[in-house]
Amino acid sequence: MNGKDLNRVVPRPTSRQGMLGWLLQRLSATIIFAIGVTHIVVIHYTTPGEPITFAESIQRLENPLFVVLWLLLLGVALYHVLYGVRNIIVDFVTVANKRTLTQALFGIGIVIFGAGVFFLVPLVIGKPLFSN
Amino acid sequence: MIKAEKLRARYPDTWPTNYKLGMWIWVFHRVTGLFILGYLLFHLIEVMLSHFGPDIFDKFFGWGYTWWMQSLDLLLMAVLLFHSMNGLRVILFDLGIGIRKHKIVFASVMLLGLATYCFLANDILPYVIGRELF
Repeated sequence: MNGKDLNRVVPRPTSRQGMLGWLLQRLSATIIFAIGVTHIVVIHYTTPGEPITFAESIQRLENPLFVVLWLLLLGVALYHVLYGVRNIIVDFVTVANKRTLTQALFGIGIVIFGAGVFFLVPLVIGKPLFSN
Repeated sequence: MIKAEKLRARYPDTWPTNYKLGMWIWVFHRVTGLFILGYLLFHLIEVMLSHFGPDIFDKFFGWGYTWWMQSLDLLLMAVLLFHSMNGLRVILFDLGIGIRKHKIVFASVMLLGLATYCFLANDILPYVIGRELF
């Protein structure tokens, strides 16, 4: 059996076969776990017993590392969540065109990520965007 | 009307009373996943309050340590821990670890989750019940 025949027996991980999605779902889960634990520890365990305040948040986000980490968390979590939603839809509904479904969910993800970036702007620049 | 027993006989694999442990875990993994999606959207709306200025932002997050917000935190932590610990089990299976002892693996990751939950609940419960635990 040469290499060409072997490919027919052991499929390569391509997105068409869903292997790439499967792999990315595991990778994203690991990233979410790592950054999620950091998120909870940094926000809730540095000042325990004290509510989160605007002043404290803008002070923390002066460090660009946290801005990057929180946005990375949002992006990866959105990928993971929407891929999960896609899995549930594909399991329960016979989807004629899976590519359209994937594109629609991708669009929704982009919109939510854009909203998340926009919502974070006041905490990064240190004041509400539309204040007098 | 079709009787339940007939439906059960016709769809033995998808009838809920026929589910075994693994199937219930699969169901709960998806239910908790959808719950976390809801929380993610709620969390984004919380952050959106920064657009309305420090007063409204601080007033909302000032509720963070009320008993009812902390009760919701207890629920959220349970859901997050179940989903993440079961996800760990799924990854272990994908790597070929513990497939033949799946109930023991499930019990182990759930115990790990329960231990973490006790650690977190020790911090959260005093705000819920209004006094120190011990």
